[in-house]
Amino acid sequence: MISPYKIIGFCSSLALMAGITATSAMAQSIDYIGLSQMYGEPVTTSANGSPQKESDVPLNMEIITAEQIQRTGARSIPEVLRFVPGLNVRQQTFGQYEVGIRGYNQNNSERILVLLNGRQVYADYFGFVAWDNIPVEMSEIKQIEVVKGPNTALFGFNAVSGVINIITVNPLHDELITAEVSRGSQDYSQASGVFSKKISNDVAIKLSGGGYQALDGFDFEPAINDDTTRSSIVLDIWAQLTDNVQAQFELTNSENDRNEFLAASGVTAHSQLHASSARGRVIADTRLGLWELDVYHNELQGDYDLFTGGAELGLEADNRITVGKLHNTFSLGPKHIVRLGAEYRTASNIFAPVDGEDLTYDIYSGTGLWDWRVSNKLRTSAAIRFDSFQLDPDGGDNISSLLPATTSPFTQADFSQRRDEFSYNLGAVYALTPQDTLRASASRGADLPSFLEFGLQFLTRPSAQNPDGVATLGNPDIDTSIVHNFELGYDREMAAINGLFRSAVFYQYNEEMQAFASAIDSTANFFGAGLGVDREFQGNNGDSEMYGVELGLEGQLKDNWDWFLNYAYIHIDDDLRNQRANSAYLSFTEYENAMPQHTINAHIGYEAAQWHAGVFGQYTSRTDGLVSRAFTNNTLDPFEVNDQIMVNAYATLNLTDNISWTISGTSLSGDTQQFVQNSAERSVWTTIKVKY
Amino acid sequence: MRSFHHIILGLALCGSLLCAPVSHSVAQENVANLMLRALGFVRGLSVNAQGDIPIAIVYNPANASSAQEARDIKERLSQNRKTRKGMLRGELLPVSAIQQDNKARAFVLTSNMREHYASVKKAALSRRAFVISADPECARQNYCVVSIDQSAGTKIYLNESVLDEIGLDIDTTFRYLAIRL
Repeated sequence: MISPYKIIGFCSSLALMAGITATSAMAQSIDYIGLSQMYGEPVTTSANGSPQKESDVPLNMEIITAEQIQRTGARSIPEVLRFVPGLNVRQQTFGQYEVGIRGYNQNNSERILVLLNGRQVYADYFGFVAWDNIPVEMSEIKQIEVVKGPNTALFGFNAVSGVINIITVNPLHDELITAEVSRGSQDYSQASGVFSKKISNDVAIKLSGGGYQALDGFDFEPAINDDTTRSSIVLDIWAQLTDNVQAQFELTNSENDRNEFLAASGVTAHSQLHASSARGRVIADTRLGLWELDVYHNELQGDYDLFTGGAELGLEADNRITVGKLHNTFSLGPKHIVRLGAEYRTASNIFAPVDGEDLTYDIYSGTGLWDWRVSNKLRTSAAIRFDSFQLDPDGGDNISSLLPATTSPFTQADFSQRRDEFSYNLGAVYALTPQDTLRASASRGADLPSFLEFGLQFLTRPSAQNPDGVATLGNPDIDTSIVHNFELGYDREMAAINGLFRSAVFYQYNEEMQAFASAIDSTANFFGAGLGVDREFQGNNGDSEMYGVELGLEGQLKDNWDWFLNYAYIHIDDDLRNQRANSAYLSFTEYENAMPQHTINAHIGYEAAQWHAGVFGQYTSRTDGLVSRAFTNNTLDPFEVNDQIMVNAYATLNLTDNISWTISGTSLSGDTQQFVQNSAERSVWTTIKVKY
Repeated sequence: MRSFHHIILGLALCGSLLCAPVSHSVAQENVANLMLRALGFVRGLSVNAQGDIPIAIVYNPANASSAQEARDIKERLSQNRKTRKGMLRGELLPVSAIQQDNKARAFVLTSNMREHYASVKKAALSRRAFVISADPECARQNYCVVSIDQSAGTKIYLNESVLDEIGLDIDTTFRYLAIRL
């Protein structure tokens, strides 16, 4: 494994070279707000790495602006995302949300890539997102960019269902000073603050932080520690080093406690997550193009108290990842933009105390993008990425040495392996008329198994159902999942509603889905005659295809009213192995009925001189499927979640130019069961906010 | 199930019946504001001894609307128009006097100036002054560096040949978003 310090040194040298070659240019990080106001629509770099207007993006992308976020009254990012067509948001406990893009939304889902200003913030040991652990305050978010469909050619592994990039204020461009406090049901208390300001002509600083505590009133079994807390702090410094070069240095720290349901649906846990990161970025705007060097290091400690079969068991994950990226975006004439990049990432993980050695990986990646403005009406984009992945146990002992020798069928050599994958994104956007836009895209994405899927070695304590416990084992033979996605979109601006009609149809084929506990070996007896210990393996459980349609209308009435209405339909067909088979191997997971086929979102909002308010409604159709009781009796139980109607609302009164008072609520029509285990309680809270 | 098919059909029908240009989701700025905002992305606009960037608002005295537009732009400029390098300071400049002005780092052109584009460009080349207009033809015909067209949404034209002739540069992010001529 290459030392992170060597990477930083190497990248710094490249940045210095970029700075030296620069001439009269001035470095420029993206001034999202300034450019968005110029064009009257959001600007993004999340589609292909180069700055684009939302209407020029050749992919299906939704951009939620700061103003729109404010007008949801939401206190969490998932509640902002809930009403985006094609997204599925399930609240499991007070602090656990699962967000899926176009289906396949499960506990600890690892199919979406979540970024904070381009830095990955998902838990690398299992690829899931602990939303409350993201070090960001709602009031510092400038926009949230949602890319639907695979975009691994730009962002790498995990971006198979889509990408969510959270963009926050940049103190070089955005002056913001806010403070807010909240109080509400579930004994909820919250405070946060953001200070973003230039402190000299060339140096700007952002300091943001906040936290909350609440009692998890959800129907969580077993009744364990109800405390749900979150705290976060960010220090972000930007400097204009020269006319040519900008540099950023950022430190973050975030912690949260929550009750949660783990990937194996029957397992409950109280978890404590502690994440920290350090990041350095250099951006040089030169005659040789726009260079960006980005180096960051994330650490995440997850401390789980698992409740399995009535017994409590501890599990710790200690995850570290260092990423170095260098990109150059340059133009070849007025019609062609090219982006070339190289990326190296190295990560290590240890699940303590059940395994004693780090499992590590290194990934070397190369990316290329070609953006061609064929004419003023047609723009195309092609991106390709190659990843070379190397997995290694770090240390001389067998990775499963802490388990009984006969527990795992794998040897040390199985964990030393290399995989090469490529991914691509092709897209085109055509302005049929000034009001009509067509989009087409095709992509291939790769979903690399996580550390947990490769190498977890876990033995539950004995229980009544399993007197000798159950061994949950990673599987070095697990395949990388491949996702193929094809999509057509049509947008139309409509004066009659002072708004927009958006639509998309899509088809996706998933090869070799990865599933937690995809196979159970309940007949073999590896612990000795008569002990009857079961094993369950991470693995692939087969293919699944999905198609769907999204339709949306949004508009304004008489300047005071804004509204939207959108509908999403998805249909999933599974082709899974051993599904529902009453044999030695069972697949724990099925997808085709586990997601609502129909989702309707509606909103109406009103703005007056001193106040504004909005109501959001969501209908989701019935879901049913299988839920595993992985650590208890190794059986699959059917579950059913009925049709749901959910209502969120807020009202804000501007007390002065700088002080506002907001009342917000979620699940106002009554508790909503969003997944099999639990119901999200009605929640109401009030917030006082000061903004300068 | 049938009700959902009706919903789909209903939404599709709405989409097919309603048409025509509309406003966008982010508040649209006045074109004068856009021209001034665009100057913030220009590199090499040097400051004067007071630390300001002098801007000439070029108008045609014979045209009342041009003169009124110039006063409007100057009023907007007075509202703390700060860039990374310094504060933009605007002065009205009759087009007839453009060859005499030797202070302006940029020319902001009002409407109805087409017959004067050649002399504006000549002055710009001699002073390395940036030229921006709300008339798309100004950039298309190689007189302006940037033209902003708001006739249907916002289109920003960037004439890179004129930019090179004048010897200035502009931020890459602005360049990649513009329609480059």
